[in-house]
Amino acid sequence: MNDRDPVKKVMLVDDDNDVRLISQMALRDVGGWPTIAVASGRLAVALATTERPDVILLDVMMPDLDGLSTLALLRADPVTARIPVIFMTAKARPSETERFLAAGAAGVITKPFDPMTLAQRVREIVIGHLAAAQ
Amino acid sequence: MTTDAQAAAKLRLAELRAGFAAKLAARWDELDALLIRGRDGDPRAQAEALFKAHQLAGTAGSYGYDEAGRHAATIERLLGSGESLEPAAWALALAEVVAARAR
Repeated sequence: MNDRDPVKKVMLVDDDNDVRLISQMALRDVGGWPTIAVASGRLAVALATTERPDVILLDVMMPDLDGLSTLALLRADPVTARIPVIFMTAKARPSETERFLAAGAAGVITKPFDPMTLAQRVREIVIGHLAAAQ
Repeated sequence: MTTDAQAAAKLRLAELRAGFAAKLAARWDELDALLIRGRDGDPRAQAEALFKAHQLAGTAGSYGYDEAGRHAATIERLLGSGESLEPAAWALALAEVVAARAR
């Protein structure tokens, strides 16, 4: 992370503890970003308003509140509406990727992922998203 | 990223992989039990097994266990129709667990 990095803080949302562990390592130890890892969409929505992460990595298939419903709640709150959200999913057929992007996602990362390159992919998606938004 | 930081990240990754490997057998046991319950008529077991297979398909490969991830993805595809499965499909799903454990 450096001063010109558009990402300073990341929130990661996944109900699988093993995914949280390896993603947090990839984002914090490789990416150099403080990373808040939470296990549910509801907790993510509650914490995002106070933590104000620069990007949220969001699992699609979660019990209780799934990724698309979590994204809708984030978009409905003016405080979190503009935070880029990247979906992480083991199911990323082209039609589903299009659906996620149409719902407002900044990008989609397919699981499994390479932990040594995850942070760079997140950075590239955020930079592209911010450029498109200008 | 400095060389030292990269080395530290790789060390941390190796530790996480070892931890995941120690838990992998238990995850297959859990999935196996759900598949048996589903095959034997528990109506909730198919959805639970589908969810667990989906999780494992995404997680195992991220830890470098690509073969385990492929077996889990195959089980996910077998269960993913949302319809009641034929006995042969349950047998195929259970065979994937056996094959994954044998690796």
